[in-house]
Amino acid sequence: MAELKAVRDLIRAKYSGLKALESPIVSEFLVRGFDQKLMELYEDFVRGECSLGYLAEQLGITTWEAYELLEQKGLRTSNL
Amino acid sequence: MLRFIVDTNALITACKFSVRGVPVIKLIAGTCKLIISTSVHDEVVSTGDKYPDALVAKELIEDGKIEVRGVELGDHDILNRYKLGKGEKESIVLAVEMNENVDFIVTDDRLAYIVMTRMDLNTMLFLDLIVTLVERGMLTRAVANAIVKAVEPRYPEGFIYHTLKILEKGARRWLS
Repeated sequence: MAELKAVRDLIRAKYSGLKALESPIVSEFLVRGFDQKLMELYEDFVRGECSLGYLAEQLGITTWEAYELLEQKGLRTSNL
Repeated sequence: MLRFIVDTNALITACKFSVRGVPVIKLIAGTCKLIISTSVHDEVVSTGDKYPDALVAKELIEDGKIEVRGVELGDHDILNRYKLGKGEKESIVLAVEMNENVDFIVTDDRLAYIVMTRMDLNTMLFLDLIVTLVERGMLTRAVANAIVKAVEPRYPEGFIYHTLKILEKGARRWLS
């Protein structure tokens, strides 16, 4: 689905060396799991319960990558 | 020269937006001392090759326009109970350690802002850094206005309107 493309691209960029990712099912689980975790953290972020840096850390990405990811998904990048 | 500690969130604001093709960070880097912690620096380095915005910060660090300060992030019971990232926690520790050797700590993250304020640190948003530079005569009002309009997509409308009013009136306490 289109809304998962940004997540898919990020996972591919960061973990493309992993053999398991060659399996479409494993890859799909990863993408959907990552996206679900992102959305859970995003809810905390917009409520001001966690910072953007915390969100990024929990996903194993940098704050810059988190910003870019939220922007690509059309989500708010600020919790002000 | 004013000294500001900036966390990644504020650094992204400064690097991502430009005025007439010049990244905002380059417009302010020469007017004040910008300081970042090690992990904020590490994120810039590890991301710099992928994003042009981070690359701008990387270049300014290499040119010595942004100072990187090492900080020992111990097992801080209070900070660890907030859902902050390492960069935000390090920035807070750095501000506490530098004490009077730093003027302000800058963040655009709500939780980080609240924790910094509760720590009695001189905390400000990136927009207030711009206002402060104008107040201290380090930045012209025209450039400041252009910067505020450039970073507009980053903030809810009220923050931008209020900042433009502050710049126009020359004082912060305006209700309408």
